[in-house]
Amino acid sequence: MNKTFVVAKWEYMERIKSKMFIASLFIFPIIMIAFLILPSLLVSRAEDTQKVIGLVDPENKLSPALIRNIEEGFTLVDNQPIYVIRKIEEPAADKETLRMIANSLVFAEDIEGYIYIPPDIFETNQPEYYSTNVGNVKDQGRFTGIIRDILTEFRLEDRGIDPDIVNEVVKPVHLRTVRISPSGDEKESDYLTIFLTSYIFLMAMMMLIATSGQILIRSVVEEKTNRIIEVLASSCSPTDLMAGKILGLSALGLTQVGLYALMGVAAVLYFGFEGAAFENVWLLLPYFVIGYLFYAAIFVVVGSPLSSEQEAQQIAGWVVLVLLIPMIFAVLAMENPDMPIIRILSFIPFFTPSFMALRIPIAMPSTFDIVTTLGILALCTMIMMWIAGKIFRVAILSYGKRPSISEILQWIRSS
Amino acid sequence: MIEVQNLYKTFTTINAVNDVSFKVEPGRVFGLLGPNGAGKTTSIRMILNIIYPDSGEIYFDGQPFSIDIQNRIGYLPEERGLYRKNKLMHTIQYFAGLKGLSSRESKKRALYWLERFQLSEYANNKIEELSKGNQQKVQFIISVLHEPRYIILDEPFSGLDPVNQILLKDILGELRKEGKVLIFSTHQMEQAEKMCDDVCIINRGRVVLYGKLSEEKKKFGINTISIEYEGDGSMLKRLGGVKRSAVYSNYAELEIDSAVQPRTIIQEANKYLDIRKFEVKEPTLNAIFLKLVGASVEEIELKDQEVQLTEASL
Repeated sequence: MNKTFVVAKWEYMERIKSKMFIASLFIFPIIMIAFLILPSLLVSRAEDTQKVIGLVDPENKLSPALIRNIEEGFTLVDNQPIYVIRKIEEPAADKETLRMIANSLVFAEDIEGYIYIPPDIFETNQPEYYSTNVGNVKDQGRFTGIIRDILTEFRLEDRGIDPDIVNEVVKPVHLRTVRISPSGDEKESDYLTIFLTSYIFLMAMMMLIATSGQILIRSVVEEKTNRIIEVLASSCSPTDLMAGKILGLSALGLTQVGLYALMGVAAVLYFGFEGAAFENVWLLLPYFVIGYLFYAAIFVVVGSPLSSEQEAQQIAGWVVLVLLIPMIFAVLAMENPDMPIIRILSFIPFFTPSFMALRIPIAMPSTFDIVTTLGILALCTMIMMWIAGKIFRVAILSYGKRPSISEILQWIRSS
Repeated sequence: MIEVQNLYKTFTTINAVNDVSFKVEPGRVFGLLGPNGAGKTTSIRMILNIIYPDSGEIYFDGQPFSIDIQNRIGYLPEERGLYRKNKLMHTIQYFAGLKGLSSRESKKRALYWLERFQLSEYANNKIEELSKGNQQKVQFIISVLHEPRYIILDEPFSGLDPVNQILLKDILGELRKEGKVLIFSTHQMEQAEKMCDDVCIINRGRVVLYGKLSEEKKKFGINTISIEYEGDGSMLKRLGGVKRSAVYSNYAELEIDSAVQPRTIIQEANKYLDIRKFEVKEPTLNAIFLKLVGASVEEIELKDQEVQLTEASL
């Protein structure tokens, strides 16, 4: 036990002081935030350039309203219109010729693109947009909306209905969602908050397991390639060594996650987010800890027979993939957390921690589910640790060729 | 004293260690000798309790292995390596901590040893910044820092420059004087001959010779001749009365029939060679090994390499 602690302290202290660790501590959240926020930030930035959009409307039916609504509907910071509509006209030209002219203007970069209103627009309901780049969803969305409104107005007028009346009558409905709990709390909460809460816990768990698991494999492989393992094995038992590593590195992982949690709490307090589903979160702790130990044992089983860092990286990557599977089910679990497939999967120890991390914030699972999943997970963790111990003992002294499955089974039986 | 009794260890198909027994007395240097792959390292690992014997017993001053014994063993493995990214002092203190030393005590002793090996200035450097030879010295320090009673050194001299070889030899002499139980493992017979009081030669997992070095030499009689010469020495092999020979470019060791007088050999050799030095002497350890096994250490190793190569090419 004493030597376990010496190993744990070494693994923890030497790594927490390393520049790599400190750097990754800050780089990771920065990257995460960048990925979450930057794209929407970039898209929603104030528009600063004017675009010239062509309009081909052979029947000339929609043009006046269309030009007015588009040019007046959207303005730049300096109140200039974002879109300037250039009507493409040519006396006695048919629609194909007009489109040919419009195309050449696009290629000459005189116009960004052009809207084509087919003569049978009222039957097909299908305006067209031509451009060298049709990736600007925002522009296209705006045009679609305006054309739709104009068409609606025309149709209403055809039937002799005043569009203003319709606007008054048709109003959108907003569903207010309230999350209730047995304790009597009622909190306004929505899909996004719950989804994010679940997601954050899932991510935290994955990160803890993935980073410290990878460090675990790498540290064993490093000691093997440097043959330090021989001196270590002569100074403490393999069990001490394995337990010490798992203990030290999980403390490391918890430090990291703990720091992020602090940052998160600070952010919640600072920005005053409301309604996050935090009340059952304490229940996640046993899943976190036991789940971590389960995966640590798996990392030892797959990692300790290896002899090179490259192999270690590869294998660690595969294990992390298993952890990613629950992400596929995240949305499904959101809709119905007690769905049979979600329930069944949460009883499989590989998935238990992550599925429970998904389920608990959404809706409290039954006591039966909680007790059973924890029981199975704990039992499998003990079995896995036992196997890991057996394999570790032999594996640390075997170098070179990667052992076959049957050889590994022999190790488990023999020692 | 370390007592090893009837040790057996089989790996899948190979009898790595086959009925090995010996005693290592305190205050003497015990040489565990033999070619690579003879079973030395496997025996050492069993003494260290890193692997378990199939059968056989190992006692330390009459006691079986325990954590307390583990803390009193110092081990320098043949294959060397250290953490690259960690600081020298931290690494030394970690290993000392595993042997039960407090951090303050280990620091004090580490400073003494670093000073002795002229490494003091590197105490706070990362290990990867040290030269290979200096890293070897660090490993030696790790193996003796906790003042172990039982010290096992596997090829301690390999990779050291001559100056540090002498320093290490002096330190081994001190440890011997202090009454430590010292196992010195090597496949270099010449080195063992200079260092060891007792020897145990293992070949293919079996003990082929065991006892006090001086006595074992006597048993083999004074029937070895060494010649230094100029010329083609190959004729020496064919001289009458020469039982075994090791002929090098200008040096040869001949083992002669006890019935043959050494002077007849010198007379014969003198006809063909310019003899610079002629000596009738005790057999060298290498010669003894040659006689016991029928091949020299080098030859056995060459053969083993060939076998490995053919296996690999299959």
